[in-house]
Amino acid sequence: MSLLSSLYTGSSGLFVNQKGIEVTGNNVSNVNTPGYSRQTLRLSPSPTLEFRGQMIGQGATVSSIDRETDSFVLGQLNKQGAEYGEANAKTMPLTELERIIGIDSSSLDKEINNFYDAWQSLSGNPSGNVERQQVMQEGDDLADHLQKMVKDLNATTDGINDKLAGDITNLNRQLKEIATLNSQIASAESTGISANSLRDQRDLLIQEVSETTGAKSYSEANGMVSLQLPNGVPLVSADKANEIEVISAAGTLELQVTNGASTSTLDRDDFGGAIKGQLDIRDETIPVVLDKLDQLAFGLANAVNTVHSSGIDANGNTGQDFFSYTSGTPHPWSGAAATLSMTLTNPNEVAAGSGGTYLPGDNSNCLKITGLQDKALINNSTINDYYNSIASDIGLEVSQNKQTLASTKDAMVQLQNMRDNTSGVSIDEEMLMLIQYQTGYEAAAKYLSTVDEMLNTLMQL
Amino acid sequence: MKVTQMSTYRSLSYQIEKSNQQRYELYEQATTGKRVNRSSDDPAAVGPILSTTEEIQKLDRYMETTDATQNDLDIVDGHLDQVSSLLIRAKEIAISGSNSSNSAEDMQTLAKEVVQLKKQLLDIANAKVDGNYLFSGYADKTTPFSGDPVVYNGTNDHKQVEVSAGQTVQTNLTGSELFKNPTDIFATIDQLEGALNSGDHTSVSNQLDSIESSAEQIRGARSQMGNINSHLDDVKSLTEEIKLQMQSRLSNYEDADIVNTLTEISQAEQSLEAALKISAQVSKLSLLNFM
Repeated sequence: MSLLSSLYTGSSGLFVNQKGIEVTGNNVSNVNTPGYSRQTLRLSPSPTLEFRGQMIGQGATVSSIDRETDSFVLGQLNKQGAEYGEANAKTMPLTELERIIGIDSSSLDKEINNFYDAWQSLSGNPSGNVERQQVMQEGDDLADHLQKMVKDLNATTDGINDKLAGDITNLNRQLKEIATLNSQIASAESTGISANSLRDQRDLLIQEVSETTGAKSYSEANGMVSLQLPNGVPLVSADKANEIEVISAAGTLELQVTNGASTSTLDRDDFGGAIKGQLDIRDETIPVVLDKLDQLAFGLANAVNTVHSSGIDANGNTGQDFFSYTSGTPHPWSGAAATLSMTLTNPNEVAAGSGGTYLPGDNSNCLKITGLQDKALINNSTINDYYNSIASDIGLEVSQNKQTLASTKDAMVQLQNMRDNTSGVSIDEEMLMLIQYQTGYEAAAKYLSTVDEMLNTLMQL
Repeated sequence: MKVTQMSTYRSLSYQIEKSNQQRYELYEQATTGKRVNRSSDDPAAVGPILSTTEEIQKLDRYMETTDATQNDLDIVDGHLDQVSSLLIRAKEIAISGSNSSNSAEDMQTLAKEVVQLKKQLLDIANAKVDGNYLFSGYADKTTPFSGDPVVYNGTNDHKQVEVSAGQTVQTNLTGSELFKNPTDIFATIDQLEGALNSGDHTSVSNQLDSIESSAEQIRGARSQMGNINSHLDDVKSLTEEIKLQMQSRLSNYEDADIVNTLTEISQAEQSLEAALKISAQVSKLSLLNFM
């Protein structure tokens, strides 16, 4: 081996260490980049050559620049991300529901109590105009409160629909990006170039899509990734994104997907993640609460009407219905809460007495109405208890969701830290690498100058 | 396990966020004094809290009704007391009138006083409170007694009010049972007046029995209302007792243990302070400082 070829050996040392410093520099620059996977320089010795019966090394060469990933942890992140996304998406609408079905002094429960209070006051002075007006006022307040609750619940549904439309737009953009990245990665890697940063981008997008939809990803042989909803409907296959369509129909919003020739409507069971969370609240929780409020309004109105119309008012007429509502489909009570109103227009129409003729001191009907408060009017419970059960059901759902959110958030932090264990950039580690490559570079340079001196010595002979 | 800068900051910011959240919840408990501020704070307590609140509101309502009823009963009793004194005076007149030493003029004077008594009796029987006649049953806008001889125009209904769950009491006496049946007090007074006017001492003396049974009728009614009134005292103290129990039950479910909350607040503040201190320290420890 000649001194001149030794120069080449030395220069390979300079080159690989400089490459090492570049890789380290890139890692350090991306220390705060989300989704970035630490890159490492894989070095190998250059092929040895035989020289007069001796095998002599020819320096070092860069075999590849690798991306450190752990597909198990990534898979777990996607799975946990879907659960976190679901709980997180439920938080806002549930908080709103909890406010609407309140338990404080401005709740429906309080209005119900006030309504009966007014009747009790009237029983003390059945011909009193003020007491009669109070009964009408409290009846009005009670009906208004129920109507307002229904309006607020509908507004929550509208809010969820708006949010869903936005989420789907964003999702479709992400799906298209993943499809594009798929083809970019496949074409880059087919020529032997590693597509590290493209893969980082794609992993991050997949994680975001899982959080929104609960989609699962599958690696394909050519470096591509396919994405499927939990029900198996493909979202991305190879370089094609299968977009989800938002159809606004009859005041609600439907999600559709076209798979080949067939178009299917997706419901909450087809999704995971944030979309499932929102659909659960919209299609399950809110309708249940609405139905219960309807039953409450229906039960209350009918019971009060029955007693009131058996009484006699201050004009000497048989009492009329105290409350009115419109309901009917699909259940007899459906729609009662939204339309409940107090029908009396004149305090004289309050039927405080129950005899055949009007007597100003007759309070017997008032006693019958206050007695309703302790009667089981809906499904074996009193009106108050029925409301209490609605409120505690919502409370339970909110508190369960809070716990799920807290535990999935915990798990996410743990998993992200585990991902960082493999893929994250540690400044200390990189600084050590920097020192290591710098030293290697210095040593290679020292070697070169030594060879140079030797050449000089040779020249001076 | 490799610890990166990102995972350190992620963990720290998560810890600080959790601490802050916990601290916020504790502050809310401390400022409202309540452990349950919304249904999710303790779903199992929602039922008891709402039903106890409902119960307390009902008890307040019963207390109000009981107070008002006792007030009414006192007013009725005040009127009946006047009737009693009036009947005592009638009895004195009758005794005096049955004494044969009284001259015809004396008897006339006594008769005039009886006319006065009758007028007073009619005024009492037609007494009004807040625009409602006391003794006309349900027809409390109708003058209960009028005419000569006096007739009853009211109804025989007893007004009932609810003073505790499912328990009603009578709050009025009808003019009929007080002044007309079985003893007709107006007629008794009329007869006394007639006897005095006639100057017949024996006839006056004969009125003593019916005056006595009139007084007995009023005494009986007063004791009936007195019983209700004293029963209401019992009801009231029981209601108050139950209300206290309900309030303490509500407090158990709803109120924060303030000492406990304050202790937890200082713990939460300490852990937050520690997390913040550590965050400030983190960047100081790095290989970079030694290069």
